[in-house]
Amino acid sequence: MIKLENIFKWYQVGGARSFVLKDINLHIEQGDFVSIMGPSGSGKSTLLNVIGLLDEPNEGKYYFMDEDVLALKAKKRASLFQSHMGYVFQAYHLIDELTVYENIETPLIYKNLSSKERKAIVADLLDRFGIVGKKDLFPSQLSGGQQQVVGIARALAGSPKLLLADEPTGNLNSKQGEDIMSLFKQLNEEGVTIIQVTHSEKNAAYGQRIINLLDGQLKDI
Amino acid sequence: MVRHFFTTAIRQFSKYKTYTLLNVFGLALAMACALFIYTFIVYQLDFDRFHPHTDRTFMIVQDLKLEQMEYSKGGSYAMYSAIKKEVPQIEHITLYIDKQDFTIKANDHLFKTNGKAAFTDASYFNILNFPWLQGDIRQLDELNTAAISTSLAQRYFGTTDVVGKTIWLESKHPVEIVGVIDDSKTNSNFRSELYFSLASIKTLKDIKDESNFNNWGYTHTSNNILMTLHNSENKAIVEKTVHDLVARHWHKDVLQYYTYSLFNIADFHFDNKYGEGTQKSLLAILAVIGFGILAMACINYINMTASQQLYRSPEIGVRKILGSSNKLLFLQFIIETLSLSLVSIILASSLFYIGFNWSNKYLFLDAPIQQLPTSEFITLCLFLWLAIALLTSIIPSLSLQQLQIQAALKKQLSFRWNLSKKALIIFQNTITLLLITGTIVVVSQVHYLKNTDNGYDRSSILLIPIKDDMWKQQEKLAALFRNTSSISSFSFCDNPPSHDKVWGGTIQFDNRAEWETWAPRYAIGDSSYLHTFGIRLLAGTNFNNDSKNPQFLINENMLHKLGYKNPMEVIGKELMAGGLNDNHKGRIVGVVSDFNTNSLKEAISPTVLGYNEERFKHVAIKYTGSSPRQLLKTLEQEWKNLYPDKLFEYRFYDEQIARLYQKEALLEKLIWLAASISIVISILGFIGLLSTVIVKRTKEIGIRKVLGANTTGIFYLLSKDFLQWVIIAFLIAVPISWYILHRWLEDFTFQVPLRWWMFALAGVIGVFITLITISYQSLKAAKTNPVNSLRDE
Repeated sequence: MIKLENIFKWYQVGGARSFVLKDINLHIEQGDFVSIMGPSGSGKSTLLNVIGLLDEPNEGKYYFMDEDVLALKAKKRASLFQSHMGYVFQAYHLIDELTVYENIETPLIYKNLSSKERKAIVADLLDRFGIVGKKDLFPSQLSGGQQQVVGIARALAGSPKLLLADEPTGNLNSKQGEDIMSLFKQLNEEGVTIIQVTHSEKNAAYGQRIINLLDGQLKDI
Repeated sequence: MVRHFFTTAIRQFSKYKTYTLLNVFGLALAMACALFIYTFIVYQLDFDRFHPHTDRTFMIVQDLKLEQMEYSKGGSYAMYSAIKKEVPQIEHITLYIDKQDFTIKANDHLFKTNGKAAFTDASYFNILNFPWLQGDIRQLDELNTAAISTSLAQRYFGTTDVVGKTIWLESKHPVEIVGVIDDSKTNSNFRSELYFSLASIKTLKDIKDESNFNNWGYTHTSNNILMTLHNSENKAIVEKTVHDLVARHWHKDVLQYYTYSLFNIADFHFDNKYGEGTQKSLLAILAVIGFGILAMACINYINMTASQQLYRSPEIGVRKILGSSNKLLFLQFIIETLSLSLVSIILASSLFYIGFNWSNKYLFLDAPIQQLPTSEFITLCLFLWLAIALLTSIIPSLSLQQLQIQAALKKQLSFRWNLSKKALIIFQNTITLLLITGTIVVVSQVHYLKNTDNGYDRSSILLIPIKDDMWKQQEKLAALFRNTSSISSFSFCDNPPSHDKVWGGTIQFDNRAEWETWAPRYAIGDSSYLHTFGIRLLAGTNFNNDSKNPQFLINENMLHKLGYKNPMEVIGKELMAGGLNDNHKGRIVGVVSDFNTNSLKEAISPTVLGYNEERFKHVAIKYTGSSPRQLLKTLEQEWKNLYPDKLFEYRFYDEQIARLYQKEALLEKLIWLAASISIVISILGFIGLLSTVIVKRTKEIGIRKVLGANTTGIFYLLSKDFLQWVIIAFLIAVPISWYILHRWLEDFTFQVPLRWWMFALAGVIGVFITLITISYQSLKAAKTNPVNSLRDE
């Protein structure tokens, strides 16, 4: 599903290049549950952003479902992103002014779905994650764990094939974290490919595969 | 989708209530200001342009060639009759004698006309566009008829259904109302409220002397000869014919001194020589101020939106990740701006209506301005709304194009328009400082004009008009005044010093063979004139009250103009003063110190003081004590006994002097208002900008505090930039304001000098306002616990 070839990413600091990603070669199959681990500053988030098309590498090739993503025009790339990927953040990044229901609905609005279709999808998601009772609340009225559940529901609204999660449990306590991780496991079993960045060995263990990063390079896979 | 954006917008507004309110209020204030200025300018520019054939409608004006050219409008009845009879190129002609003061009795109540009455005939209504709502225009050519405006009819009778009713002029002459006139258009200089038929002027004004009608020399500025030509190209031919008529019917020598021409009525409002002299430059300045204030408000709006975008940048980032294109983000912005500015324009129209009514009540007392037609007003509002919404969306949405999602999520946006933002804030402060300086100087000048007595004393003087047959009872009046203890002196006179209407004439001095080529002004009164107005006698004696053996005083200026230095050299010399005493040669008996016969806009003129009871129009009363209330009550009582048909009228002299400077006083009020509005808007601007700065520097402030900076240090750090900008704005504003104000002051003969403190004061006010405005937010930021500002995800 994802093939990275010789990905380099650097910043120009003074005269020298400071590498964030160095010669990354990676293959991820559909249905994988991959955890990216490594110390702070090792390039985990950058790698995730490159995969999620939020960031561009300076060099290398990126094939997503056999398409050369970096060669695509911005518009095409955006639509590819929109139709296949969902993103979950450490800080949830729910829109404060929108209710739970509206937050989940937003990506569907941008997809130009009719209000009937949107209603069906959102109702389904609310039901699935057990947050029907909270649909009219605003993010500030929810606990962190609940907010992250909404964040995941929102990421799944567009029925993506790939879910990208950047430290999804970073702001949660351990009980909430466990709930989120078992949710991920369940989603993976239902067929969603998941790539997560995490610090925690325990969380990483929920995945099938662990990628270790150190100073922008992959360590033994 | 649009509905979704609306919900977001409304929740957004209620979340940032303060900012939304500041934004809406600032925009509304500026838009109301712009609407008001637009209305004012349109009203002024449209003066006398709404008549059917404005382009070929003219009035007669005359230039008198003396040492200086003297320009005036108006003519004589005889001239009007001759032109009417003998000039074929004229389609319509009328004699419109305006500014008539009468006491009218209607429904058994007495009313003053306050100069709003006129004499004219039916042709007037063919030339000027004042439609008759009721009645037959032709009846105004009959005897003892009148037409009345709807508002005056309301006042007199409480109804507009007044055709056929009778009013009494001076309680003597019954006049039948034959028409009611639409008075919705007020921007005309040739407009009255009550029109008497010209045919009946002889009876109504008790004119016994036929020369008023057949002597060409009986010209008066109130005798407006208005005409519509068949073709405006005939203007020169008509002017030529008028000169021929003057030579034939009057005297050909007249043409040595007088030139007659046709003057387009639409130009009258702005003309300096013959007309009202409304300054077009003033309108231009107002337009610039209007645009400036609007620009300031837009800048503020943009700044505030930009600072909002910083707060909201995570939302924008998330939306992009969730699939929003830039186009949709722009749509979202436009919808927010449109709804915000819609609220603003609605608020603006209400503010405008309040301001409009307020200013017609207090600002433009005598000449209330007129509302725009509703359709035009609505179009203008729509235009303003869309223009402002579009303008204020451009810059914030441009910054969207540069948006980096990663940075956006972390509130680390850096829009590349720092330079322009600085420029904008400097521009805004420059305008404010210009207006503050302008206010200081204009206020000083108007205060100076209103309160400077040159050579006379204005305090504690009442002016009571003496009209037509009131003079007959002057003995009784004088006795009454003499016996009233609170009156220290009184003088029957033509006009007091410092008056807008000044009588003058040519003179022959001593045994000089030729009449002088210049004309002095005349101050005409009885022998108490000097004492009542506190004019100082330098040499000789006061004049007497004898018009058979006239005695004159002259002022120093006149002494010099005659070519003398020592007053003694002219005392005892003969003087023939044309227009003061045409029948008898008089003698100069003394010299007084210079005083202003006219307003301070003109230099001191050579002046002759003398006695001529025929020209007495006022009695000036100098009272003792601080309040004349009791005196006024007594006088009013006595008035009723002496003149049962007259209303008791009076004016305070100092108030009448202040009226000379109405235009300047109006400018003073306008600039004062504009300055206040611009201060309010620039305060809003500071608040908006400062919040942007604080968001961006939150981290820096936190770090500095951890490193040991104290509150004062942080406050200084945040205020420094703002003060810098104000100082730059000040440096720009000083030369510009100096130049403009210097030019403005040049128009006055008597002016306050421009002093450095006027500019410095404006600067201090600017800095003070800035400090006050930014202190709250700066202190709040400086006091924040660094733990909060440094916490990261």
